[in-house]
Amino acid sequence: MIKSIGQLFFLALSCLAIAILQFSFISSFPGAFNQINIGLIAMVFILFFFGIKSAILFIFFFGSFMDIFSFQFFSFHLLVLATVSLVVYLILENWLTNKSLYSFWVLCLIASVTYGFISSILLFVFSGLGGGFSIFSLYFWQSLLYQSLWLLLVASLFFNIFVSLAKRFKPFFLEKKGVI
Amino acid sequence: MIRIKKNNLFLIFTVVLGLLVFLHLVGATRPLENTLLFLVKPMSGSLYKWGSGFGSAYGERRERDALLMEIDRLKKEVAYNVINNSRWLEIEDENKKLRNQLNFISNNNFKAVVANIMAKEASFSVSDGSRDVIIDKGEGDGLRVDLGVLSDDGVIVGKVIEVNKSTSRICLITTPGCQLAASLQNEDKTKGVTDGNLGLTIEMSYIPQLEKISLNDTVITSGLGGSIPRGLVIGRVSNVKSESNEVWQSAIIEPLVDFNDLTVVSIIVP
Repeated sequence: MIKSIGQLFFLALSCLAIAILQFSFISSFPGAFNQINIGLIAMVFILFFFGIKSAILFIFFFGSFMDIFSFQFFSFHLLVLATVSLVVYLILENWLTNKSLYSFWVLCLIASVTYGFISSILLFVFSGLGGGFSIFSLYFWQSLLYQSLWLLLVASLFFNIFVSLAKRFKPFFLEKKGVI
Repeated sequence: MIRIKKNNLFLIFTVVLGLLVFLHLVGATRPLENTLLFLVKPMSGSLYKWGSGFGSAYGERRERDALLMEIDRLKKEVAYNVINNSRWLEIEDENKKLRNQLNFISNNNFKAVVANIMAKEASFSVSDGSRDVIIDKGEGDGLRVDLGVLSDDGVIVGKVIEVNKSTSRICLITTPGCQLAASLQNEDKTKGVTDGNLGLTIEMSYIPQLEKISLNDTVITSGLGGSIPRGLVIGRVSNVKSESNEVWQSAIIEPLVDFNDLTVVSIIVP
């Protein structure tokens, strides 16, 4: 029980740190650099390696912190991340058969595209349909491209670090003696 | 013991989310949110300054080639200025006006609230990548919607568009939809409304064709219809769009500050 509470507290603190980094540090970067979405990367990473329960907990804490800091309508980040996690989870469970780097890349790409579309649609709807629908602007596609590229880059890095540390996903081969 | 099925997870999440939104809307979570923001604000300000410093360094490196071209252009411009000695006096006069503007706050005894920028966030109303700025001062510090925001050297950079208890959202004058009542410092004292243009420049539209606008005319706030006082510098006219068959003409205004370098701003409370 105490261990679980400790783990939850640690997760909440980590989510707070990631939310502050995303909200203040990364948002101040110029051009393509501010498209790095570490919350999304962390969410896909947790979903892929630790399962849906951990991912939902992460979304709850991280999304809540982002919604408190942000001036978008409350629950914007929670809704977007939950929808993305649902899509990614369904694809991971039903379509992908192994947990390789390629599967991780595919999930990251799907997560990035889903995130871009869902957030634009939500912003458009909640601005009273009065704002510009960003899907039709060049900026939307540019930022989606940058976000996806960053996601793939960081995903590769995270995947390799985690695999080398955890030794859970290292490939192994069954060898038959005497056969080359 | 209750076991949670994986399929039910999203249902539970949805219920918790609904509850959270309800508590937020009735204000039950407000003390917790304010405490968290209060604790996070100093860290956010510092992180934003670090990130902004990185941005400036990156920008300088990227603009090296552009700067070399700029040097060539400036050499030609210097030659041009030598020929046009007479214009120097005019520029000197304008400089005096600008210096007066910089001392505006102290001369007019306006109360200014100094705030740190915490973050930038996508603008609600536009889809061209323009971003609003979030500062660490809010309703509790006397801020309200429509107040003018100045850079550290006294040039107006935006206005407050949304206030929370301890934070505020500011639209930058280059963001489309961020409008200011403005006036040109020309012979006609042309009045109009400025609006952001693609997040890069400012456009002053609906100026009658008869009004004479010159390049480098200084644009200031007119003080009409709002909480922003008269005389704050917005920028300089860099281009005039005038067609003889049109009723109106418009002026493109170049801002005097680099919005990427902003880390501290002052909000004028009249």
